[in-house]
Amino acid sequence: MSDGAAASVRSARRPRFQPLQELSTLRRLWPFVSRQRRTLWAALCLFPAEAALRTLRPLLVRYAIDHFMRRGDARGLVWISAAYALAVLALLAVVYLQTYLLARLGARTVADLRERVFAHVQRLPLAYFDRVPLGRVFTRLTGDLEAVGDLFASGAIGSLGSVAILVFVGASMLALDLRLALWALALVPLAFVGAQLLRAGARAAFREVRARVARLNAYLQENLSGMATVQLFAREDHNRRELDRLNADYRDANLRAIRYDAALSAAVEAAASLCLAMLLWAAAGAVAGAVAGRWATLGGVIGLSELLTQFFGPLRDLTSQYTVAQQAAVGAERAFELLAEPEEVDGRGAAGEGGARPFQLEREIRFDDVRFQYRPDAPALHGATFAVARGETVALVGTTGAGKSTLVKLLTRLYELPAGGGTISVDGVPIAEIALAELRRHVLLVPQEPHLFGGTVADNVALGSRPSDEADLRARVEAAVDRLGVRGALERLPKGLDTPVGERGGDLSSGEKQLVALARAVLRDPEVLILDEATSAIDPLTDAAVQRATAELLRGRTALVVAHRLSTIERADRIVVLQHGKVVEEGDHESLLAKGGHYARLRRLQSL
Amino acid sequence: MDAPDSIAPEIRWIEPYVVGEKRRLLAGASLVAATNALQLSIPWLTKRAIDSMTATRFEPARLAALAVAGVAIAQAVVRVFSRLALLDAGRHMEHRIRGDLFGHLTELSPGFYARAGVGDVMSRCVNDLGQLRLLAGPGLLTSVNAVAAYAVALPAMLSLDARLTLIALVPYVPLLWLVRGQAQQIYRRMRGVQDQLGLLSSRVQESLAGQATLKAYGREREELSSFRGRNEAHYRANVELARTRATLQLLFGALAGLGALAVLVAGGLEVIAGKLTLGGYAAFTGYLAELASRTSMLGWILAAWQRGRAALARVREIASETPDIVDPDPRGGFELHGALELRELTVRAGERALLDRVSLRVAPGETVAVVGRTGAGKSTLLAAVARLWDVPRGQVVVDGKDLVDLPLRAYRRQLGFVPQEPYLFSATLAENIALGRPGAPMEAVRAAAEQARLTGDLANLPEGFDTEVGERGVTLSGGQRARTAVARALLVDPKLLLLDDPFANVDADTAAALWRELRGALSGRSCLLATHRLSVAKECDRIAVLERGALIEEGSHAELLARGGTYARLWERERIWDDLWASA
Repeated sequence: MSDGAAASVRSARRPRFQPLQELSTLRRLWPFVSRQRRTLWAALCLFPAEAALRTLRPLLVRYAIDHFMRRGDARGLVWISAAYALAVLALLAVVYLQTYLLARLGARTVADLRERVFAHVQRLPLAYFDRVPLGRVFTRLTGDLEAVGDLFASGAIGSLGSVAILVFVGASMLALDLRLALWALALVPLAFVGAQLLRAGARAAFREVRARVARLNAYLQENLSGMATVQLFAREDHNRRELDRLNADYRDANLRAIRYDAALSAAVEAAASLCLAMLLWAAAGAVAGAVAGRWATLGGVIGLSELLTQFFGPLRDLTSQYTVAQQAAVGAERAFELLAEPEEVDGRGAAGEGGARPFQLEREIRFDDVRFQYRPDAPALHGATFAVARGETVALVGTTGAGKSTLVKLLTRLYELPAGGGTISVDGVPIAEIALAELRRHVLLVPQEPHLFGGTVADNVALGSRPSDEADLRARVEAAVDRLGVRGALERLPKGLDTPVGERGGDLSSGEKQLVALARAVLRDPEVLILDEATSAIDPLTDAAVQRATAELLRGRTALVVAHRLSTIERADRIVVLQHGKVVEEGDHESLLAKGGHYARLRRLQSL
Repeated sequence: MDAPDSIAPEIRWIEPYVVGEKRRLLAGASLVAATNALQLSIPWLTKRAIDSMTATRFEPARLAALAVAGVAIAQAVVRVFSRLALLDAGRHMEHRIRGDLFGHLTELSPGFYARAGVGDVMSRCVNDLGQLRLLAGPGLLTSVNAVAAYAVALPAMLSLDARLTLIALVPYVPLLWLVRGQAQQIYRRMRGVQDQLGLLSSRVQESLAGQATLKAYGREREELSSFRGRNEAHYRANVELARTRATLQLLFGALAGLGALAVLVAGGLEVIAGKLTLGGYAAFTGYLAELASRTSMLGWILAAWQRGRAALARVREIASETPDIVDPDPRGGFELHGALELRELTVRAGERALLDRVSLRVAPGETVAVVGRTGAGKSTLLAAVARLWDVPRGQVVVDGKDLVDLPLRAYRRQLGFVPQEPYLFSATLAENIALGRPGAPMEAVRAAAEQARLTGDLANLPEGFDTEVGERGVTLSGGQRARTAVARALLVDPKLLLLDDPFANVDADTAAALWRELRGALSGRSCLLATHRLSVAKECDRIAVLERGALIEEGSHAELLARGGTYARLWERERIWDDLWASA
């Protein structure tokens, strides 16, 4: 999906921005900008240099006219032209450096901000991703931040330099010839007020344009996504009319904005020419007087007319820069919103008692009256109580929706147990008090549908390696694959362990994906293993490999298995039967079968 | 193949839109030319004024100054209208293209959207159309402006001083050559930045999609460092682009600066030699400044044309996509009675047969259940009957007529289709229910909601029927969405109901209740019900069992049980399942 489209669709939901708010949002970028203080200062120092050089050139021209051209001094003219050439070169160098430095500053700022946001996203709790669509987070990290970069690249920051130019040029005009300059600039305040008024109108018009394009694009997006429904209910004509209405609204808003734009552009040009007319009018009188020894010179008039051109240059493109700044503010605001989302809590309970506690399993992992709900109206666990002793393999058994997957997610703190939701403890220490990284280093969850990343099979297995042992990674991966006895199954893939997977690569069957996930887990070698066994059908050949690998992985480990396979269940030391979020039976395979309760009936279901 | 040939279809496609704006475009172009003529008469008037001053002739100088003021005002007026005409033309064209494009898009089948991807289509409708508009409005304006400026300024400069003109334009030759190289470079750099952004984006996407795994393995730090690599590569591409951009700006700056320098030296010497007046010198400087500023837009203009051309190709591609399912008579009428017959219906996706010679009859008023495992072809069967998926001629017969020949809209208007994942629009709940009957009276909406057992949920919604739902509104639960879709289908008073597992997302009790209600609503309608809940299928007139796209069993519940085949096995399984639920 295109970022631009997504961004504009989304902006429909946002309240409108006020200029002051935008300013304060952009101010929050300061910590990121200030990291490159030297680049920033260098760029800022170049602003007055640019303004001075721009002013210098007309002054040189004036001197050349009055002192050399009018007096027939060719040598002098050549000398002053050499000075002029230097001024041109210096200005080129200054502008080049300034443009480059500002753009680099912008790119760096965005890169830093993006890294910061990405790092933050990595630490968001999983529940956040249930609440917010991935697409939205994605746009925050890509398109929205690009808009922030435009602020620097497009020269919107550079327009700050325009102020310096206005000051320098204005001052030197006044210094050059006070009375003529006053004549020439007499209309400027008027032009300024006029432009300000038009600009206010243009701003409102552009705001309306943005609001309407957001509505239009949202409607378009929704219709494209739901086109089958539109067609099934024969809504084509009706929706076409609705789109025509939104489309016409958008066009009309644009036509209004064009009026302001045209008026603004014409007004600035007219003002520039009128100022010139005023200058010439006054100069006619003054120069005539100068012959009689008064104050204006011809060189002065021409110099002033050139300065006038420099003066109006920066006034021209301020409106478009405002739009860029506004979009940047929206992008930055969204990034900061995301940064304000609370991160996963680390060792919460222990924070006041001098830090999180280490993970230590000598006796047992205990679930005590665990209650949890994803949504207020859909409780998943109603007070589940049971324990897993060290070295024991416990199989969790139950129908879909009994709460098995929820239990294991809570143990790895992918979801946080709410206050009053019972406790999960390791040797009596609530897991909430154990440092998150520590907990996850010792407790590993192998999910039902393992996620493979772009790269090769080997890369995906290597994900299980601990960051410290990057050496001989390939050998470790192969050893893990061998230990699990799945080498044969993986070698059958087109390129063996080097077969590409994920987005770009070929597809692995769900069984092969599980083999990769199991090998990954073996490499990690966790103290406690949680296995959410897959329910999906696997081809018989791979299935045998998966079963063998599972058995191998579980051997001699403390394990909690959400079990679906008979072989896994029967091999478990103990079976916990979960029903509607509660433990209803507990025991080993034989005793539960003999009991003829839930477990026995579940078994019949599976054999069908 | 020649480049002009390859864009010919695009030109043909956009021609009517351009011709439609002929008057605005022509008027705009003429007015832009007039603006330039006026604007560029100012240096000439300045010359008059200064020459008069040199000769200490006071009155002509003041007259020239007044003329400048007059031109300034006339120019402002003409400029307003020139911009209005050209920029408006762009907006009007954009408006018409968008309208036509959407109309066309409503005729393309779900198959097209699955193939092309909604995101890509959306991007073409928004980004590419935007580029096209940029070319048609500001792009055209700037281009005409540049041409007009040269057309007016060059003759004026030549008549003023041909030798000086040549000297002043000498730097243009090497510099424009360099500009050309840098402009090409800048496209490459932009592509580079886009490519890096693409790589960065897929990195982000992948990381977001794999959050649970990354957390389980505590890979946050490695993930961050891998991201950093991409992020830095993107940064470097941006810095390279910035350097090229700055270089390009440097070249344009040099163009203006060196031209001015040439005029200062050569023009100054001519003034000393008496070949050029001071006024002429000033006018020359003025013309040259105008030319330089227009020339510096050249890079932007080239980019606009190039992007516009690429955008045009991408927009036309979807605009000329041939609909694979064509309504033979969009305005035609047809009265549906609800007799449906499938004759060896075969639907393929590439090599794979999704439906394999399925023959089935549904008599008017009859309810037939379609059961089978996930992926057996139940949804495809329903989609084919609604002709969301195109069917071969002669294989689906409705009321004795070939579905392919029926007026599609009239047919669909009498269908009630409930998909597995109902799509809700950003509108009120009532509007969503009334989708097939816009403006239906509130009583009808309420009655349909009642039949779909949706009324019980209303209490939990902040504004009842007026609650905004969909993307921007309240999130409904799966069951609520299903019930909304059922209400939506019932409101059109359909003769044929196609229910694609409406009980998939509701619990057993709600399913049973919903089914009881629906049964009443089914009288007088034919119904195809795809479901995995056999307790519901059991009560249908007939049951069809699909396996891997083929119909393997058909008959009443009792017949199928007696047969002891797939259906009987599925039935036993469900019975135990329900038993477990009941005992909990």
